[in-house]
Amino acid sequence: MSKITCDICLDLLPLVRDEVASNDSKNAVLEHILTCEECRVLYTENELPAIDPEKITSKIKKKLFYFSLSLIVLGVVLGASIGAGQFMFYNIILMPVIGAIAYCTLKGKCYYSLIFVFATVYLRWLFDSFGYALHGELLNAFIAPLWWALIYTGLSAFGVIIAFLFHFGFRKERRHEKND
Amino acid sequence: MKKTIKIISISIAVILLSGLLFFANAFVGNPVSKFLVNKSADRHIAEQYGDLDLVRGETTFNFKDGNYFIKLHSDEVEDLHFSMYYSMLGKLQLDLY
Repeated sequence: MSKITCDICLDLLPLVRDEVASNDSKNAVLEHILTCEECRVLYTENELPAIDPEKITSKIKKKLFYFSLSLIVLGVVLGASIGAGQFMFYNIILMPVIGAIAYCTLKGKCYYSLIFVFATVYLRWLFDSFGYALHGELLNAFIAPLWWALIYTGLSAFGVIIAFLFHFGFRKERRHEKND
Repeated sequence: MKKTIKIISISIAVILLSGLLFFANAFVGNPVSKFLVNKSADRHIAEQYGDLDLVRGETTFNFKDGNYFIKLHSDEVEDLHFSMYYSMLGKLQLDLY
């Protein structure tokens, strides 16, 4: 068997120690530790870096959470920015997707994302409504953006509802629920 | 009982999702139709106008009539520009050459 690197040796060490590695892997590790001082120390002193599954899970969850939050923010900003152009109808897909991501990420607190959608779209259209204000129609300047904000928020809420229904339909029952 | 509620909720979700996609399809088209239109248009251009060296514009969906259209023009002949209209199934509806 060809020589292995320290990284491969570290990967194989737990398997060799638990005696579940194949003979070839075991031989490769033993051959490697003859020449590598660091790996020999790890092998003999049981000093493999400890793996805490809960810590790893929480780390992954945290990363996923921030990734989803950035997706929501970017999606809302993108949706609001294309709102007055030829691609505006893509919001029919984009906003429900944002709603669904928000439900998956924030669960019960997904209404925060709906508030965020409402506020962003409202402010974006308010910027366009300055024309009304300049012509003295101050009330229209504040009411016109409201419709767009409501439409976008409604689309997001639609995504939240669909995600909720799928989640409810596919979720596993807990044991005490089964006993009932 | 619980299972029935779950099946109902999944069914409602599927219906809502289908409705949303149907609604979106009416306004932005869909990638499958676009692919069919592109394929059909490329074949048509090659067969009919292969000698004209036309510049083909992007395939665009028109939500007003539910058709796709493609604008074509020639860099060599200034007055040569026209559009072709395709249905969602990729069938040529109108060629304005």
